Amino acid sequence: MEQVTRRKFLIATSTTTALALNRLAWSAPAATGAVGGAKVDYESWEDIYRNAWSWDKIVHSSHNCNCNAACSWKIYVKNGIVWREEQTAAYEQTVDGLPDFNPLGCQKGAAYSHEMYRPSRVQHPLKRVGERGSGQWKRISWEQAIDEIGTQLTEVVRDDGSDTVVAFTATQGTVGRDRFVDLIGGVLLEPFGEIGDSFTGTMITAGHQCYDGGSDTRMYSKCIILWVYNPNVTRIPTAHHLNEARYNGAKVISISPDQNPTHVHADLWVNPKIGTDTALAMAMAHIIVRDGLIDEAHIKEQSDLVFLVREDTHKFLRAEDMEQGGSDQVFYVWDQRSGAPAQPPGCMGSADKTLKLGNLDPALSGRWDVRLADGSTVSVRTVFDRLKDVLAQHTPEFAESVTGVGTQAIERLTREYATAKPALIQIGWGIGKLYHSDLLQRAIYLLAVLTGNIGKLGGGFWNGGILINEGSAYTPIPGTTGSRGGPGAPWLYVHGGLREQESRWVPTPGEKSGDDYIMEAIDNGWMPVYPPPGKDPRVLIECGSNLLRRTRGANVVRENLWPKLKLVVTIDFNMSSSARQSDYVLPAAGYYETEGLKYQDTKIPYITIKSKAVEPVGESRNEWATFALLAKKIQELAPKLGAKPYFDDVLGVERDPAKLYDEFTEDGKFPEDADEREQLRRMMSRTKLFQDVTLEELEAKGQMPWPNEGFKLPVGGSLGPTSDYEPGKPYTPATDFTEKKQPWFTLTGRQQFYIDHDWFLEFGEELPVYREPPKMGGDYPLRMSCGHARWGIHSWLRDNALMLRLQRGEPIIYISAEDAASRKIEDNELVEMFNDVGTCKVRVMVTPTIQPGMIHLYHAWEQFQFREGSHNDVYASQLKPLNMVGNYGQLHYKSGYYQPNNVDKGATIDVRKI
Amino acid sequence: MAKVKRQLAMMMDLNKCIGCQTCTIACKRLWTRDEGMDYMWWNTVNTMPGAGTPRDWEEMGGGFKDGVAQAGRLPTRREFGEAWEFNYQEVFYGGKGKDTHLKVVGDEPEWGPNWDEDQGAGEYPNAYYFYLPRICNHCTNAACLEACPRKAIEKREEDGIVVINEDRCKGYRFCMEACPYKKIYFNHAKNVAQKCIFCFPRVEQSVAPACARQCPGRLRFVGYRDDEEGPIWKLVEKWKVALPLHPEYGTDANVFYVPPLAPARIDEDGNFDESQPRIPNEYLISLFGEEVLTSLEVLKAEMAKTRDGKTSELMDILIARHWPDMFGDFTRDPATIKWVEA
Repeated sequence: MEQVTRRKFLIATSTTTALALNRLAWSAPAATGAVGGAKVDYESWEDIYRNAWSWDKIVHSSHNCNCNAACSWKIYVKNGIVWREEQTAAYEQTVDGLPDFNPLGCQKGAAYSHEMYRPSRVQHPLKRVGERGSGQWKRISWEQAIDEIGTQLTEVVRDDGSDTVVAFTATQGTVGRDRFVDLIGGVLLEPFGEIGDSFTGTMITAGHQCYDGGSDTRMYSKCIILWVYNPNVTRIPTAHHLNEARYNGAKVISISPDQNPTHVHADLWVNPKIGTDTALAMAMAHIIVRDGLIDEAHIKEQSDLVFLVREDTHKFLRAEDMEQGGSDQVFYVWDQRSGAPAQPPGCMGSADKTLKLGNLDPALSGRWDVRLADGSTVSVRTVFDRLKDVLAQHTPEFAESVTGVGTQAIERLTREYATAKPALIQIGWGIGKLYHSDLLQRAIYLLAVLTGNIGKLGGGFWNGGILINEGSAYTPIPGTTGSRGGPGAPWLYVHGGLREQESRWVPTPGEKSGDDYIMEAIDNGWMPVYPPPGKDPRVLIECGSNLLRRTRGANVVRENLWPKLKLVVTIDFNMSSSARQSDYVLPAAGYYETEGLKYQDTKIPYITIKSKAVEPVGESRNEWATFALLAKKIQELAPKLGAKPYFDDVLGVERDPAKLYDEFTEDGKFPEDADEREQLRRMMSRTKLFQDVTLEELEAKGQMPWPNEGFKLPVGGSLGPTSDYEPGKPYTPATDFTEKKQPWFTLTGRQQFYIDHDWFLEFGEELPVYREPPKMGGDYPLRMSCGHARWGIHSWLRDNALMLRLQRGEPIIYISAEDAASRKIEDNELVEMFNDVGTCKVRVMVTPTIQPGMIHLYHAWEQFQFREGSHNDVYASQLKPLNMVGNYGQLHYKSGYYQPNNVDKGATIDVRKI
Repeated sequence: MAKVKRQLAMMMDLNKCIGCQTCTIACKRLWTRDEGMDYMWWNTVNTMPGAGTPRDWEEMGGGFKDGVAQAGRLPTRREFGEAWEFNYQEVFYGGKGKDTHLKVVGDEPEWGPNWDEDQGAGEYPNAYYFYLPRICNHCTNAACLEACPRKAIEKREEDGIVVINEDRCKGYRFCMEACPYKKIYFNHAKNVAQKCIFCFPRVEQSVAPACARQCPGRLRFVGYRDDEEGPIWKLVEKWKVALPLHPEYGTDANVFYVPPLAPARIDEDGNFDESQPRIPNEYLISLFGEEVLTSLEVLKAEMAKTRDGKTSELMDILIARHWPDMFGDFTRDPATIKWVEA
């Protein structure tokens, strides 16, 4: 036992004592004295600091803020309050030779103990006493809040139907909310496209949205391209692996219009004009094909580039063309051995579910005449040859004229990338916020396939990875009915009043308008919308969601959706933009005040526990308790108010509001005051992830490395991993396909670049192609670029005083020195930003790091942080019709799957002096 | 000059700093939360070139020239940046609706500790910037110590940490004038000068300082300068890639930096121009002295080795595959300490 003879004694475990003694032996005399128990002057100023650094207990926790990191923190508790937090920092190297993940964390995590005790936090149930948004509140009791909200909910379910009760899942999963909305028969809208995160182009190509390798495996890379990706700002906990990979020999190339904080540590920085990146990617593909830098084996086995396309219809040659009763989901290659068309295995309609070509030797190029089942003859060509036609238009010279990047730079960039083995391209979540994001992703993805980098350790095409465990970490208790869900963006188009604005600048090839296409997709049921068009939503429950901060066009949504709503309830710890426009605000317990797990991203192969360190602040409750109390009230009131049982024809179940609480709590097993750790145990028991660990062990360590079982979703899931994980081996995505030869989740069973859906053919986007970004916003000289901020995770901490003191205290936009000078605008001046959608007053930072012709802003300021208007008032999001297709192979809607994005990047805008 | 038995030092690799300010917040939450300390940031990270904190600190004087103390100016609280308070209560619960917005109470801010974040210098597309984290340099020839008429500033014999004895300090603030790095703050509530203490309570227990141990970029190496097995000695003495900031200030600083590289320039035709560096040499020399050019050459030569598939001791040290290796003798996990009442 070590002792410190001041007011406190020091005890350490025997192993650390040995280590500590060893070090202290040649360390500071004061410390040596401490070990030896020598007396230290209690009264010195130094002891004030020594005593400041002390604590009563440590609890392992984290922050459920949808940052896609999974950092374990030690929460230091002193005198019953959280004093501070420091990273657990106990990660072992995943593989010898790779830098470990320590310490894993960021400044926002380190500031949460400040945030949780902010005096302005919502601490009591509040009821609106003025107009919505007036800021006039009355503190009420929980009993009154539950009674009034429960009564209104029961009446709405009785009078308007349960499908008018709506909640957005947004970016924070919460068990109580999801279960409550499921069981009451409400609508739980998913966020993927609504927040602009849907990787549409990756979905089109791979039938899968998200894949990343382990962050540390970038050490194996020889070239890393960061494209629409700003990890030094958005991936603070793992950005170090990039700089370490660079020291280990990787060339790091950053592609962005502005000199963003990530370009700082790149070897090469490439600066296409905003929204023109697809021209650059296609020119790179042009050079790769021109110079023969392609990996033929990968292309033939893993892509549809060898598939045959009919010259007459521009459709794939299908089995149904060639034989009576043939499948429309089986296709052909030209087999060079037999000199005839042949069906490759592994297509969506193939009996043989493998990519192994066997004796087939598909031709990459060529034109052949084939005889169809009806006796006619058609010419067919390979997708690769059709691609070459498109690439012929995308010369380096063309790309230079569009992007402003010189031809020599394009050649050099391409050579660096295509000759490095392995080479990695990483894109970020920002990419989905471009209107033609799908084309850009398809073009970038093409580069990785042409060069054969997919499935290679240290190589490939990575986007933001999300891993949802089997058993879904969100729902601890089995037996829910499933969601009446739906994609958020089409929902807001129909119910949020965005229809006119979001179709205004949608480019279409012919007579049909953007709205015609979008409504056709909705009418076809390709993108489900509940309640259906014509029936208004009546209740909005905001929990883990901040719609009016988040939605591009939030002012339109408030003006159009809010009047339809009889009841708006926000459950939050902060007075968010949505909370301010609510009828009731209920205080939610914070991250260190509840038990939970932090879900993880494939980049960080650890599972993190988020334990409760202290009791909820003020009168706040965890969401389970809040929703259980609401369920109890509805169950009690339903018979009295005449809310009768009914048949839910969407989900095919009988629902009875008078049994809601029994169902919610599983017949009382998990009531409002349920033991949270028992709930956690139940959650852990539902997946194989935790079969070798107990809750107590996890609590003691804070985190655990992935086991090799339990995280895979069923085949066809779009978010889970695409490789097995083996502890002690580096994690590389997509090896299910490249090594195990499982078919990709696409119509052709391959990474598919040719989409022969009628709409894609109509728009001329059957292959990736450069399209000028639409002038969404109107005819203005500047284009807007947006991105995730260093200083918040979405709106979380965006209004925190510590964070604001390290910025300029209020929202700013970034403008180039040139554009500022021509408008006679100076640094930190208050200006008006405007376009056809709206206006907003905001301060500017004038900087030479911004490309002339653009302005940049970091997102997620709360509306109330602006003097007038907000960023949301000038966003000019447009829905892209092709991203609403729902009747084609991999292109159909389900949760977390194919859906359109709300977008903001590239909107047209101008700025003027006030 | 105070004699010390050993000297603790920190080495920050500017090619790994991403400007995330986790160090800044880690320090803030640990040490500067009491009354009078609200505006203090003992650890700062500034975008360079820039005016930094306190504003234009590089022009405020202090330090030594040819061994002679130079006049320095006292930085004002406004130059450091006030600890802005905000009108949360009014906005959230004040009943004013859209008639108000979240704002700083009192005067409109004109400067803050990170005011020119990411602003940079030069002209697009060849503007340049990098992040410079700063703490007290715990100088061997500390100007603050020399300047204190109360002899309230001590250089700890056992580890060379420079501390202000708050029992002796009378708040004369000569130290703030004398420090050429302007890393000393004044506590108006307690009437004492305060600054980075190199986390001596942690160091005494073999735990690395919070700014280093909490740094997600893994750029802060800690150790004794004479520990030939430790990273500091290897980077500073053996490889000579790590340099003190503004050596001309004459204080013999004990914080060192690996100077920054930057991406290739872009010429008028939009092509790469590697004929000259993006960050002008003159600027780096003004920060780190002439040695910076050699340091960068060594760094580039060693990076070329790993690109060619060869090994490099320097790259291995800077990569720090095993994180505790960054902290020399200060690798203890603070959670292994248990405090109990005496």
